[in-house]
This record gives sequence, C-alpha cells and structure tokens, in this order.
Amino acid sequence: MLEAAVGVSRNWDPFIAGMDVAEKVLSKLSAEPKFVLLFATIHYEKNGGFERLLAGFHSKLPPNVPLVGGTVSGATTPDGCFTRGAFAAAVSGDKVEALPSIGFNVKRDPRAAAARCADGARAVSCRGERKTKFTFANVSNGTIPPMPFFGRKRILRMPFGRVALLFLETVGSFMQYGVGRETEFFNEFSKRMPDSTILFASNYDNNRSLSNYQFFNHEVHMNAAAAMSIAVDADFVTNATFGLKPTNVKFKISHVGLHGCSFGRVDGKNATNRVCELLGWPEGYLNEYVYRRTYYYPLVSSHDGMIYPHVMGLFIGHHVVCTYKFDTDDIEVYSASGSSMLGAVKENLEMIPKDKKPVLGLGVECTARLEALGSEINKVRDEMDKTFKGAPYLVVYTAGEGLYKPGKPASFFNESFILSTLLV
Amino acid sequence: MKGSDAEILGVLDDLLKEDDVLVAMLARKGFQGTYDPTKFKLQDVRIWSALQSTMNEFFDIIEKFAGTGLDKVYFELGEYEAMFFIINQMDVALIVIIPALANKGLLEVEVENARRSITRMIGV
Repeated sequence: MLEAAVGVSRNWDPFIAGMDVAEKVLSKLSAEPKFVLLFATIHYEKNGGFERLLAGFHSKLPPNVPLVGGTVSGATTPDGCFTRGAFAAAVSGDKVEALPSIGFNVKRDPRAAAARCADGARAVSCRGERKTKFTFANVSNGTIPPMPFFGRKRILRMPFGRVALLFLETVGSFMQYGVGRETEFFNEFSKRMPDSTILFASNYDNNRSLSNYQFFNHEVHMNAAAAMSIAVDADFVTNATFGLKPTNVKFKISHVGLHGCSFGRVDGKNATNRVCELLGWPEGYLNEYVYRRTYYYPLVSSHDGMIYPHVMGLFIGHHVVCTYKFDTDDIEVYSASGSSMLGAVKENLEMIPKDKKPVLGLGVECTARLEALGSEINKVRDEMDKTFKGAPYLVVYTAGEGLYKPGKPASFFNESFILSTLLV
Repeated sequence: MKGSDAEILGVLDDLLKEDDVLVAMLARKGFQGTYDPTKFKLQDVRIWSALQSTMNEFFDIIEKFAGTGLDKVYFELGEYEAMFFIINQMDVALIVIIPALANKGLLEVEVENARRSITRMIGV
C-alpha cells in the first residue's frame, strides 16, 4: 500500500494554519504518514510564527513522524495556486520509509553542511532492500545583503564594486548574507548520496530575498539545509524542463568573484554597461525594477548537454551578481515568454510514463516563473490536473532548483520546472 | 446580487493584510462599491480621487470591449500600480492598488484567488 495526500491552509494565524493543514493531510490518509514535507510562505514570519506553525502542525501529527520543509514563495496544488499559506504533502504505506537530516551554516561552509546533512540521510538511502531511493532537500537561499551606507538594494551604483564584493565574500559569508552557495552544497551532497535521485530546492520568501527558513521536525532554522531521504518500493520519475530559447547573444565573462556568482567584465568591458548594451536596454532601464526584466533574459552557461540558466539579481558597481556559481565563462542570453514557460510544464508532464498511476507529484518551480506568469500560473494547475486526474500534487515555488540522478552530474538551475512523480 | 457585503469585505480584508496591497475594493458602475476605506494604506489621495471621478467612464470604456476577452486592466501610476480584475461581464471590477515596486506577479495570484471567491459569492 502506498498513499499520498496534499493539503493547504490559508489561515493567517500560524498555529491554526499548522493544525488546519495537518488535519487536511491526515484526513486523506488511511494510515499514519511515513514522512511529511511542510512548506509555508513568509507571511508567518512575524512573532515566532514558524515555530507556532510547526507547533500547530505537530499538535495533530502523530509523534515521531519525520518532517522537513521550509519557506517558499507559493504553491500550486489541486486546491489552487497560492502565494500565501501553508502547504503539506505526506506519504503513508508499508512500501516506504524515510529519514530527515539537517546541515547548518550553508553560506559559511556549504560543503560541511552538505556532509552533515548527507551523513544523516544515508541511513535510509543506503538500504538496499527498497527499489528506489529518492531525496528531497531544501536549503537556504541567498539574501540581499545590507550594505553599509546603501542598505538593501538591487542596484548599487558605486565606483568600487570589487571592494563591496570582497566585503560580501568575507564578512557576508561569515555573517551568512549574500549568495546562497547552493551549488557547492548540492555538488557535495549529491557526491555523498550517489545512489539516490535528489530533488533540490532553495527556500525563498516573497521574492524580496530578505529571509528564508528551514523546517526540521519541531525546529525552525535559518542558513540550514534540511533533507528527507526516502526509500520506496515504487518509481520516482524526475525531469527538469525550462521553456527557454537561445537569442544568439553570446559573450565571455571574466573577473569572476563572490564564490563564482559575479562577473565584472564582459568581453573585456565593464560588465553592467556591456550587458545593458547587448540586451538593448536604454539608460535608466537599470533600476530597482530590474529583476522583473532579468527574469526574461536568463544568462545561460551550457555543459554536459545541459543548460544552466542564471538570473541576474544584483548590480554592484560594474559587477553583475547572479544567483549561483558559473561553471563556464561562455554565456548566451536566452529568452522566456509566458507561453514558453507553460510549454515547459506540458513537456515535463508528457515525460511521465503513461503505463503507471501517479501517487504523488512533487515539483519545484522557479519563483521567477511565478512572478512572470502572475495569475496565469493557474494554467500550470490546469495542466497538472489533466495529468494527475485527482491524484495529489504539490509544486512549490523556490529561488533555485536542482536535480541529481545517479550516474549523472548534479544540476542546479534557475527558471526551471522540475517534477518528481511517484508512480505505482 | 448574491453574496453579502460582509463576505466580500472578508475577502478584501484578506488581500489588505498583504503588506503591498494598499487598496482593495469591489467597484460597480457608479462607484457603488464594497470597500472599507479605514483599511486602505494608500497615502496619495490624488489616486483615490481620480478613481472616484473616473469610475463611470472606466466602466463605459471597458463595456466597449465586451466580447473581446478583456479580463484585466493595469494602470501604471508613477509610484503605484492599479489592477482592475473584471468580474461579471464588465460591470463589476476588483480594484487593487499596489506600490510600483511590489512583486506584482505574486500578488496577482492572490488577487485572482480573491476574484474567484467573489465571483462565487455573487453567483456570476
């Protein structure tokens, strides 16, 4: 037997929301869940709200059921698309077992965090008797750093951008501000979990990049990584799709810094100016609105037959800061449109084998896509409904997404739609 | 029209709890809307005055688009943005004003949820 359920609560009170979403999930299962994934939007942050959310959830959950999760910018479920609320998925049955694990200080030392998190997770992942090993891991995303004299801004016009980047790379990493360093975490984590498919997500807030949280059983953490390692006698099919198109605008980056996430030169010229020039952005276009535009023009590096879209998030002096590390210096600008983003969802759903029945869909989708699609995100739900035909699914919106399949390199992206489907 | 004002105000109140929703109201032609101005956070009264004085003309104009699939209208107003989500074939609209720098896409998802709730309430 293998059962899954997904629930949503829209209550503003965190304790009640926790109870509510737990009740909704548990009422759909005939047996105690083997694990729970719990996500919430940042709305519950004030006054210890996430601790209260978890307290409410655990007040209904049987003791010792493992739980991990964190903050997301929204979710798509059979009940609708939401950018406020608490969302949970749970699986029960005798064919599944799961173990949660956690690592700390991911921005200061992502490899050590990954080692600790993977060591905890391997206990279940390495059990040989189950058919499939699958791990869901979510990790703290980057936050916009409070820069001395400038505050928290996306565009910092300053003559010494390199100094600011050095400040971020040293003091920022120690204080755990700035880029998330998810790729470093994910590469190490996947190396230590070689036989498990891994669905990876970066926790986020409401697209402000100010704070994010991780949930681990009864605990709430920041700058952590929480994983649920699952062994199951069923199939998990996982695929990533993008819906991005190359524009043939290509350039070479150099003066890479900030843990490999920023570049100061494009084709040997001032990177900020040159990127604007190549994209045809007029003077004045580069303002605090910029992230609404950069979503549509991801910078893509390609290797190992995969594309790696990076979103430009900050402009510090003449340096462009993206959300994760560049592995190559050859970049091509891609473009996205609403229809191409929806096309990626359809493409992904078509890859699910039709000869098996979906028990649960668990997806991570980039918040950039949510922000770009707005209320049209309901079309994602329409497509999911057509495929899942009443089976539960939960797609959460994150700051970055990753996928590892045994025998293949770990891949971390922006602007992707990654769906894992549990099939029997 | 079905759906009590209290129910609709409950939906609007949920929207107004979002930090970046400055105004949320249900407007009908003639500005006989449902709203609670005590919960509005809009500082710039010029926008509110302009809305009040042009609402009839607004509905007159959008009625001309009946049959074209007009669903939403956006006004970029300097530091603010007004979103009109049309309900009931052009004679009712859910109006939301947000700061121009707000995360419009994310907020739109909840405005759409509010529109769907109100549509169910008023039995369209």
